[in-house]
Amino acid sequence: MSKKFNLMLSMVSVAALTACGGGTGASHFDPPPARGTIVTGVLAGHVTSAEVDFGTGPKRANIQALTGTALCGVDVRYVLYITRDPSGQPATASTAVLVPSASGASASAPAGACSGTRPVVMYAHGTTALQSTNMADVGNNQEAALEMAMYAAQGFIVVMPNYLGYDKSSLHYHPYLNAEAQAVDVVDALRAAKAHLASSGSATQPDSHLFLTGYSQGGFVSMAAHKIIERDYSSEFKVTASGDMSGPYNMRGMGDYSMGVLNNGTPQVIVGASIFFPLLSTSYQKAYGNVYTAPSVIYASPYAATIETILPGNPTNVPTGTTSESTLSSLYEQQLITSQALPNDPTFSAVFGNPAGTNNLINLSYIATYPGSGFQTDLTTNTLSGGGWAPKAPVALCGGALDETVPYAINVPAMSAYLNSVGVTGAALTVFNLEDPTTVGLTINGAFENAKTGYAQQAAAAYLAANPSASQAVANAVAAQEMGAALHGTLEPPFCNVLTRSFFSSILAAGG
Amino acid sequence: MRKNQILLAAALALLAGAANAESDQTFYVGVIHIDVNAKMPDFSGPAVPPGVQIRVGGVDTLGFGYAYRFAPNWSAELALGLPPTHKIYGAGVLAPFGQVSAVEQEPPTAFINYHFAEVVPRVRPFVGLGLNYTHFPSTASTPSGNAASGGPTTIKLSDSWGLAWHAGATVALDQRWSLAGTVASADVRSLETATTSYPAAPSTTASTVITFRPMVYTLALGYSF
Repeated sequence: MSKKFNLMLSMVSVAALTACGGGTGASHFDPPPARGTIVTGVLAGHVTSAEVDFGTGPKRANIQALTGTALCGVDVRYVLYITRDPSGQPATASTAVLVPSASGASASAPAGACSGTRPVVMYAHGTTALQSTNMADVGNNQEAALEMAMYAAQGFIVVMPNYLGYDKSSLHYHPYLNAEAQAVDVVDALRAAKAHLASSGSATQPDSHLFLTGYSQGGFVSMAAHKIIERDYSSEFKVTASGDMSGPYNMRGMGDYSMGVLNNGTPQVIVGASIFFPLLSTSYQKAYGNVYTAPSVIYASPYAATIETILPGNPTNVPTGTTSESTLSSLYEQQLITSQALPNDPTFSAVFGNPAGTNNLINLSYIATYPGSGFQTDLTTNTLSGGGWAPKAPVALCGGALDETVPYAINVPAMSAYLNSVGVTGAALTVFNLEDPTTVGLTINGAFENAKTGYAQQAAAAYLAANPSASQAVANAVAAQEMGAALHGTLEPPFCNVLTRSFFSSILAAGG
Repeated sequence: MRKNQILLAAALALLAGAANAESDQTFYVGVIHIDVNAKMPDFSGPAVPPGVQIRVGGVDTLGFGYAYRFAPNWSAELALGLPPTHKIYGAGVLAPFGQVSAVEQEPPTAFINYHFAEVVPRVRPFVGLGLNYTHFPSTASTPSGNAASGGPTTIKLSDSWGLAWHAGATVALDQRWSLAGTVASADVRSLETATTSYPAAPSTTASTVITFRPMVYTLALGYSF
């Protein structure tokens, strides 16, 4: 009997081991899909060079003097891919891939300029409140249309990640200005874009050049991607150069500036802070867990109750036919005010209230607890103007010295001084200040000043039209204020894009 | 201690102390391989795109059971086992997500068997018809499954009652011990509902009715007393 009993016992143990134990715990889970795995990849649309020219022409954006006339048609592709969230779990995110195409190209396009192997530009977009932001929606997303005209229509493949938390992403929040998390997402977007192009039969494929660029939040993201690609992915991607525009590279400085640490305890206003702070505190709280024990530590009532879930978001009751992303975004921001998710501050800037303590988003009592806080530590963790890294590929920084949203004085001097300190000097570092003709040339500076003047004139005229009894002086004062607030988001971008593109082109021309 | 492990321990204890001269009762333990053969229409729901499918992986487990010979060629049988856990993989548009969930099933089945005369010495084929009850005590969505559905997801599978049938043969090793090999199947159907939650929006559900036509292969060692 014992032989057969032993046989039975061994069958029991074999089967019991194979069954892996009961239940459905993590021991029964395969590892997640590889980073960059494509969920869907599609050709979403096609734009001809004539259509690009109409968009940059006098009847629309009127920036053709900066973008140039389009050489190429553009295939607009969209890829949804699997990446990782800040805790290392799989999450989906999406990216646009704009591909120069000989179809719909200009008759004056040189042979081979719009197909074959072309350099890749990764463009990282700026802060947006609109969760449905999709850089593949070139007809409705102005930033995407600008990059299409600047790069794709000029023969560059452009990869524009929408970021975790936006569009169809499975992540329920956005890891805003989290350098490591955003870099992982960018790398996986590049992987997915490359794999999609390879399997798509596209006549245009990436060559070995990879340029990183981005504006505002995107300037931070492109610099973080530069740092982290060179640190962790150097066998897979070689950065040719990065051109970072108007970015908050000095996050610690931005926090200290806003909280008054740099100004004897007087907090400083950053235009857009009511949108930035909720995104930032939520991002860092989710990643690091040390920003607050509850949102009410930072945020006043009633805003604390919903602050973690409102940004980014989508408007409700959208008027039929509204498709412009900037309109949808403004509509959503207005709804945040009317629903009392944010205070009634149409400037979205006075986080401590104006006057202080009135209608404030952030508790005044938080200011004193900020120095030495977990939040301040997280800002230091995400400060790119420090930390010991040194870019191997050349860097260009572009901004405007009078920028009220991402202050130049906080970010650019710190960034250049840091880069100099780690040996990045001379031709390896180029700094463009739109307000300074010695850095950008008289032509660009002159055009930029004209754009500012023209904007202010239009704003003054609009003010007078709405307030006929007002004086010109008052109108001019309002206009100057509006123009200042518009520097970052409206006036600087086309000029910084042109300068960055020239920087990239000269590297290509020099055989870089 | 889990219910089935208690049953197994009790059965083994019975075995150790058994002494019945008639050999009407048989207790068996064996290894089982299950191929599930699940088919279903695409998952549907308010937020579900077309083409959402899953594929259920096969699994091995331990089976055990009890048979009572109530007439010379007839037995009544209760087939049990350690509940196996299946890996569920995305299919259709979900294929890139790999394993999307894990599901534990318990499919106790009762049979009435007819045993034929020996075809060669010691070997007696049999056929059986019976009733299967399948329920799913435990389910879990993987992190990849959560990414596929857009948020933390819980999965429910409804219970199933259905016809079962099997065929096989017993090989008498000696007066008490035997080996049995069987191939079994059953009619199993379950409504799967996956519910995904969001921080600031109502949950959404995706569901489908899965029809399983499992093929279950068992090799067991029996002790009759």
